[in-house]
Parts: sequence; structure tokens; C-alpha cells
Amino acid sequence: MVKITFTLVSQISSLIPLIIGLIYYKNLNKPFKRLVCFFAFSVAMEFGANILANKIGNNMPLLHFFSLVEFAMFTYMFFKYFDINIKQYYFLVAMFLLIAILDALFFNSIYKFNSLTRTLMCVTLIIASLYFYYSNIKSYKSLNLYTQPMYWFSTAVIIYFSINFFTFMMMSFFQTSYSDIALIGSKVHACVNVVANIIFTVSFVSFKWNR
Amino acid sequence: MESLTIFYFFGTFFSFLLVGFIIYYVVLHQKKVSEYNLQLKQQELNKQQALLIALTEGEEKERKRLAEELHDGIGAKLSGLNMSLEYLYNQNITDVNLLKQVSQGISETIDEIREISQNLIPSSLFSKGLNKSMEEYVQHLNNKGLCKYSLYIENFDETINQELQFALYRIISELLNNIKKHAFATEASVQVLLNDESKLLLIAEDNGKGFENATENNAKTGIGLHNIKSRLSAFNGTINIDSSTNGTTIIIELPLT
Repeated sequence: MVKITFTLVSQISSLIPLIIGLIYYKNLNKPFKRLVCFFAFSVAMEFGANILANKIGNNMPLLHFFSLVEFAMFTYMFFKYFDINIKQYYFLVAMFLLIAILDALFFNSIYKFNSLTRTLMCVTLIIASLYFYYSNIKSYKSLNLYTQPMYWFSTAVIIYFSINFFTFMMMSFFQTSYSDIALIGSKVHACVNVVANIIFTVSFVSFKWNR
Repeated sequence: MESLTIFYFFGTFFSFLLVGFIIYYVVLHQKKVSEYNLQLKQQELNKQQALLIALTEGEEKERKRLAEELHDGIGAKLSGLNMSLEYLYNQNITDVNLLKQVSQGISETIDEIREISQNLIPSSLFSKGLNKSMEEYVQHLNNKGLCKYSLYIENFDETINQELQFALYRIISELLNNIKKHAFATEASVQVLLNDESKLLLIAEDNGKGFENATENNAKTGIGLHNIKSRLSAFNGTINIDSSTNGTTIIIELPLT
């Protein structure tokens, strides 16, 4: 019998945005269609991570790769929304790739949690989300935020990365020294992941409200 | 280790609170902006409705006045002339004096029709501009010789739009019409000046008998003023009336933007 754990619920929750995203796929714009593809990739990664964990006992290399794709996808969403020059986007992703490689090779190991990369990702995406809120407050536009897909996306991003900020920052250290705290950290992450996945799902549904 | 764990849990909890606060603030702020914009839209809508009502009322009153002018003025005159001609025809006589009276009556009727037509569609306004068409109108009034009218309009035809020129024409015509019909003045003047390039200043003065209850709409003068006010409200203009037995001064301010 399969034991229901926080991690399992979190992994299954990644199916929700994928299924809803596919149902609403025709209504979505280009960046959100790509986001659905990302969630398909994310579900594949969850299964891959499970297989690796069971067979080899370490799925961290997959997390290193997933972090890179996740960063590229989420920053792409903000770059598209703010209509920023794509060259700057490529530069940012290239810099992140460089840091991810350095993190995997020197700062941490490819078989350990990529704390530096994930923390840097948190900072970047929190800033992007805050800037999204700031630009909306500044614009004084009379738009109903609840019908804006980017509002839900940004909210999911800020919830996920802000609450997990300390988890990501200290996970590498906890995993080596205090495994019980690392376990609590992973449970916190799993809970926040479920919430974020639900909010990402709302961002797809909000396209229907927006019409 | 303990301090690190406390730091971790407090940090995470603090992040949670901060995120909650940020999201709450954004939603609250956006709600306020939406409500404020809704209020503004409602105010604008109310204003437009009031304006529409005022314009409709003005139009109705204008039609009524036109009907009265046609019925009481031209209609009566044409009936009189018809009777005179029928009399000449039936009697089969040639009465030079009566023929002269008929001719004079026809001339007067033509003048009146021209005046009404001029009031309805100031075609000269489009072809000659505000200055020239107003000068012609004043010249026409002066030819009647009952009152000496003077007009000064600063040359700003190109700086103001056609709607405003049209409104200005109507307002000046209405003011001159009021003076002609009700003031019993011997002298009257109208000046239109550009005030600091953002406002038009219209000053109409006469030495007539003045009128009471300038703001009331029950008198004929009041109807004319009501029409002027309706037009002014469309352009956010203001009117100031100072009337006594020695004459009347009306100052109108019209913003150009």
C-alpha cells in the first residue's frame, strides 16, 4: 500500500495545473501555453525524481537541472509581461546557468541540494513579483486583479519562493548536519508547493474570467 | 543548532506573514482604485446626463421660439399681405399706397425670414469665420437704426475649434437678440477677448432698461439666458450678470481646453 506523505501529495499536486492548463489550453496566451508545457516537464521531473530516489537513492542532479529550467520559465513569464528586451533575458539565464554550474561543481555538489542556486532564484523571482505588484499599484489602472492571469502567477511565485527562501538557503546545511530539520523543511516545502500549484491552476482558469 | 533552527522557523514564518501582508495590501489597494475609478465614471455619466437634458431642453425651447416667430411674425404678416392683395384683386383697383404697403410688408417679411434663417444655420460662420459673420450680423442690426451696436472680436479663429466657434456665435446672437427685443437700449457693445490664451472672455454691455430676476426662466429674456447657460455648460463656461435700470453687463468666461 502506498504511504501518503507530504512529498507524495506535493508531487501529485503538480498534476493539477497540468490537467487544468491542458483543459484551458486553447484560451491561454503564448507564455501561459509554455507554462503548461513547463508543468508537463515538471510532472515528468517528479516521476524521474521518484525513480532516481528509489533506484540510486539520490535525485539531486535532477533538481539542479530542474532549477535551471524553472528559472528560465518563470523569468520568461515576467520578461514577456513587462515586454523587456529578450537579449537581457538570455543574458540573465546565461548568468544563472553559470552560477548553477559553479554551485554544482564547487559550492555544493551535484549530489547535494543546490542551496546557492535556489536562493538566488528566490531573490530574483521575489523581486520580479514585487515589481509586478508595484507596477500595478503605480499604474492606477482600473483592472480587476482577480481576472488577471499574471496576478495569480505572480502570487504563486511570491508565496512559493518567499516562504521557501529560508528552506532553500539552509537545506544544504541541514541535510548534512541536521537531517530532522531538513525533513521538516521538506514538509514545509511540500505544503507550500501544493498551495502554489493550486494558485498556478487559478492563473489558467482566470483566462476564462478575463474574456 | 538551536539558534539556527529558531532562525529558520522564524524566518519562514516572517516570510509567510510578509507575503500575506503584501498580497493583502495589493488586493486592498486595487479594490480602492477600482472603486475610485467607478465613482469617477459615475460622476462623468451624471454630468453627461445633465448636459444632455440641458441641451434637449434648450433645443425644445429654441423650437418653441422659432414656432412662435413663424406664427406670430411671418404668418401674421403674410396673412395681412394676402388680405390686401385679395382686396386689390376683388375691387379691381390700383391703389398705389396699398401696393406700396404690400411691397414694404414683403420686404419686412423677407428680412424677418433672413433673420430666422441666419439664426438657424449661420452658413457664413463656416465660409467666412466667426469675426466676419458676426460683423455682418451686427451690421445688419445697425442698419435697422434702433440701437447702435459695436463689436470687437480678437482674431483667434484658428486657435479655437469649430464647436466652440459655433457656440460663441449662438451665444453672441442670443445676447444681441435679447438686447434688441427686450433692453430698449440705444447703445450696446460686445467684446470677445482672449484671456491668457486659456480662456475666452465675452463682455456684453447695453444701456437699456435692464431686467429683473436675471436667473429666472419664466421671462422671455430668461429663456434666452437659459439657452446661453445650456451652451456654456457644454464647454464648462461661466456667466456673470449685472443688471440695473441703467443697463446690463454680462461677462462670460469660456475655457479653451
